[in-house]
Amino acid sequence: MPRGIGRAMERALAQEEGEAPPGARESLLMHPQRRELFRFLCLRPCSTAGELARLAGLSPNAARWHLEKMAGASLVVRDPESTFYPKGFIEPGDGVLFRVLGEGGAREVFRAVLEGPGSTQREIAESLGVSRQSVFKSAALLEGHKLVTSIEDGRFRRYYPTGLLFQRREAHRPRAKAFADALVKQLHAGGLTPHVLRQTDRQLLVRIARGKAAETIDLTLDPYTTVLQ
Amino acid sequence: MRKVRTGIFGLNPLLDGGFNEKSTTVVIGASGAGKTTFATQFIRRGLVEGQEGIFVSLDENKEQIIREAVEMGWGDILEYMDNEALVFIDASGREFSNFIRKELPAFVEDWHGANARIAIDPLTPVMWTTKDMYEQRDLIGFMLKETRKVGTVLATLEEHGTGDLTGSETVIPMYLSDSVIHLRYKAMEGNQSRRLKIVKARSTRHSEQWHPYQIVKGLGLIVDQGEFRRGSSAKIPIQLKALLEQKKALPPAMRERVAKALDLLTDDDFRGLKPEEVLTYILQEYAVEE
Repeated sequence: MPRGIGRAMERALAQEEGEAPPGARESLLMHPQRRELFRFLCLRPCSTAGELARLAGLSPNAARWHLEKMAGASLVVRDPESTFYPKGFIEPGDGVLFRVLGEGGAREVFRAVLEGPGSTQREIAESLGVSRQSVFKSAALLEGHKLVTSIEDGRFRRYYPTGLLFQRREAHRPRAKAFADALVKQLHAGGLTPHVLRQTDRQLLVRIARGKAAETIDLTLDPYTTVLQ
Repeated sequence: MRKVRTGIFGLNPLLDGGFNEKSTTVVIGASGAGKTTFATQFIRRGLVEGQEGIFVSLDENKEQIIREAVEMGWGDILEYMDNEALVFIDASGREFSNFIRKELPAFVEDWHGANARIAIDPLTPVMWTTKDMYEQRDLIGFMLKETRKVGTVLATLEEHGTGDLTGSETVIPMYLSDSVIHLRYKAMEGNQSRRLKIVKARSTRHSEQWHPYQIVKGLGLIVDQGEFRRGSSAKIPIQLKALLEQKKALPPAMRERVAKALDLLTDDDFRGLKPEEVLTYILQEYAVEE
């Protein structure tokens, strides 16, 4: 029997290299879906794979696979609660705040309180078009984590935002800069020749390239922006 | 059907002797279950028999897999690589799926009659080159059908989610392959528990139980056969044969055929069916009025 089938397959496969440069799959953020997931991770750190899949329009399994790949490459951290965030992007202790805001409806209730300080449960429920029970549940959760506070006013309970998230946002600024610098360094080490197009407190815009292919990564550096604006 | 030894200690008897030659097997498991070790063991077993081996790695780079194999105590694979009996290929899912579409038919024709062992680890990135499930089925079906013409094929598949094999990514390859082995891995508070089950094996009387397995340095996967066929008796087939002898309503040619089949069976094959019941069903189907 003739031998050498392995080398022959290797040669046949090598013909395909023109379409995907060797090593391209290691360059994680050249992959459009991973880039998209990473962008959402910066917008909504400490989301579950399912939530990220919904945001990025992927199947949960595909999202999980890409997230694990990024976790394996130290781009992303998976915390014990099985939520994900970009490595170095948040104070680990803040994870709980983001998770609370990710709970069904809590983010919307928080935004309603922020926009209408002193709202009652009924007013919030009406403005959001949800039941009072669900507002009650979310408000209790937010209050438990000191994101809102409430006072009795006769028959009503009125809700007010606390300054907690504003303080956390201030404290985040130096971390955001360190995160951006470390990411650019990591991209450089991965051979992606990063070119920073814009870097502010709130945004990082980087062009990355491998071979002839080039992509742009557009990240928010302020994860509080989606709740505080 | 010729059998080839799997290379996994303890597994062959559970598969009635091993994998069928030139068949396709899919090994499904979560991260940490031992899929790559399984695939390496399978390839290495063939090398020992003088078969050629191809290890297509679509995830880790090949250096990583070779390093892990050497750490496992399988340094001999380096010699097999030196004389090209074993070839490691690393490619992306995209490259491999283009290869399937464009080069594979001519490749298989060129190597018609070859008898290699081919491992594809893991198949998952190939599936993900397209979102269209019809196309996935087409691609994977074609790949399995063609590659087994030149050898015995083993593909691993990543398992995500609940572990009940219902995800579309597992269902399609499971349908299309000849055999499916499910590896289950749980790590809890420092304790690891690993079990495997043969979900299907075409033209094979296989175990249908869960079997614990271990991964042991230097040896690889070792499967505990448990109670499977251990001293399994053949009381039911013997009894059934005796009952059949007495039934004159059954045409002699038919009786002989059933008796021959019964010689190969053990009690395990009947799984709770009583000999009297089976006799009634056989008579219902074949008995002639006297």
